[in-house]
Amino acid sequence: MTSVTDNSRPLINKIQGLASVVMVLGVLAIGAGFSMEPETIYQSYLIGWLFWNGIAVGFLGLLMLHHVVGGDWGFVNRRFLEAGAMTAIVTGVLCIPILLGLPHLYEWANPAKVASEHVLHEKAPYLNTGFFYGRVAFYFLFWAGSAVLLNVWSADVDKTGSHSFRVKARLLSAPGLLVYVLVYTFYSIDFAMSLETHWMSSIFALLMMVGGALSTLSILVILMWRFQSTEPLSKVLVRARFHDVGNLMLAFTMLWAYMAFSQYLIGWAGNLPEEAGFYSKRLSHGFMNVAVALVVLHFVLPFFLLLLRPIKKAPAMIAMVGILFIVMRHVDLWWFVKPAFDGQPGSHFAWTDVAVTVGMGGIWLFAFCLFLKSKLILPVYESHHDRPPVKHEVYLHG
Amino acid sequence: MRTFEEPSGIHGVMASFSDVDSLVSAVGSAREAGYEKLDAYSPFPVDGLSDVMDLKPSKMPIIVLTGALMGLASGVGMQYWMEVIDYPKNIGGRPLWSWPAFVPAVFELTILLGSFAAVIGMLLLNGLPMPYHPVFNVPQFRKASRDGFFLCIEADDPNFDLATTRSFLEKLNPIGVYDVER
Repeated sequence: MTSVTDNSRPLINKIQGLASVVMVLGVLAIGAGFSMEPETIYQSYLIGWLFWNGIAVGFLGLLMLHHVVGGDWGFVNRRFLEAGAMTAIVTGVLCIPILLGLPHLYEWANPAKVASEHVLHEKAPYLNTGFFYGRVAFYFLFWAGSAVLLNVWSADVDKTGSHSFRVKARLLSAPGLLVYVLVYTFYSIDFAMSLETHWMSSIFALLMMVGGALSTLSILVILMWRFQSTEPLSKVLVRARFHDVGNLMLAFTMLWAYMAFSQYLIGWAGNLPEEAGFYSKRLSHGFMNVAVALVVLHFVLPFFLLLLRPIKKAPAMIAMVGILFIVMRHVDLWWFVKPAFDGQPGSHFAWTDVAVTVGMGGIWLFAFCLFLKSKLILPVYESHHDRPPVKHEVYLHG
Repeated sequence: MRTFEEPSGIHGVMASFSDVDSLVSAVGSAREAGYEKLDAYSPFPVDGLSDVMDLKPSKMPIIVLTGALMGLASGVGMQYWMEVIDYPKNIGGRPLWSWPAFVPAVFELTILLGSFAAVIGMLLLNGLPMPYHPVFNVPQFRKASRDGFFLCIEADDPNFDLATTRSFLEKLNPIGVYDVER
């Protein structure tokens, strides 16, 4: 049907080969960590899992957004978005050790703690192991289910060019985004916020979503940078597309700073133990330096870099900004999770905090490449507005 | 009877095109031929047109940044003067210079003066308001706000010569070529 040259395959295989090495090392590191100091490894594991699940689910959010609003940036990257969304299946499996080790991480899952603390007892109707399992099952049913449907339909339209794809994808994505935000809210409360059972913040889930989206866009821009020299993507991954994604990164880093500061300002102004206590832990000792690094490297520096159009239009440069965001996203999650265990075993920096995330990245990337190989690297048909789909020009000349 | 002397009152020569692509390629040819003082007119923004026109980088970013930094400085200065120097008060035992509380106003003033600088700078750099412009002396130019695409090579270009510029434009496959009176 299509005689277009596609030499992206060798690059995907190369990345997958690299990923499998990292994956093996990662599994060894996780195993070694579990046999050495269980408390530390659970914390490291949660950080790594929150990081990669945020990216998997972030890809699903971008894919749904693309189906609703359209745009060239989403069309040329649709295969990346689709493969990324599919990895929610993998992060779902990776979630199992957390589900089995809840008492190691969450004090509400520890019956002795719940009996002795009134607040935990009052919150038990929501924060209990059974209900938690049920909610997590629902989250992954929604995430993986939407990802599979959007992928299957998209593979189908490549063969048939059917007009109904766009309608179906939109019908799923528009209400899907609404459910997505709600699911993300409860997911953030369950896995992250419930580490701090006394603390409350109504913007935290959005902050998690924005931070996750930023690291997703960063992975995306690095993929674009790696694939822009392979046919046929070299024809569509032009500088304007890097500019588009760079603009999104700029918007999301501003949003991240805005929300992170709002949350801080309200806690600071209220000066109540529940809210201020959260920050007093995170702004004392060594954690203060991490907080300052977050302000400078997660916002100030990339903000000014992303204001400059030449940087947004240079693939290698914007990919470097992406790497900075990915590192800082990990630091951000570390800074959130670790102080929650202040005064308990394993609350300080451990080598597994980095090793587990990197190793899990190998697993994630391996699966991502597998999903990426299941379809042509560029969708065959594009549809503008409500006109019938037409073959993309790359596929016309062959 | 009126007689026309030497065309001293000429703003430039204008060519009209039927579609975007011919306009963009005409602008490219004119730039290649060495014309610098030219302008292109279309009913809607054309992607890539400013690239072929090879425009100098706009001064807008630096103007907006200056405005934004002035807003930032005034926000910090105003609140420091009010809260620390002019009328210090004890609020919940906090230090006088409690910077987190001042951030929202500093942020808003940064945006405000940045936007003012953007609007005023845009008007100044565009030379607006401009009640008269010679291109409207060409009756066909009316189409520029509907479905016409125009390229005007202006008379103060060093390479401008009425006859040669005219014949150059005629070679670019236009709908028509018009002299623009001042």
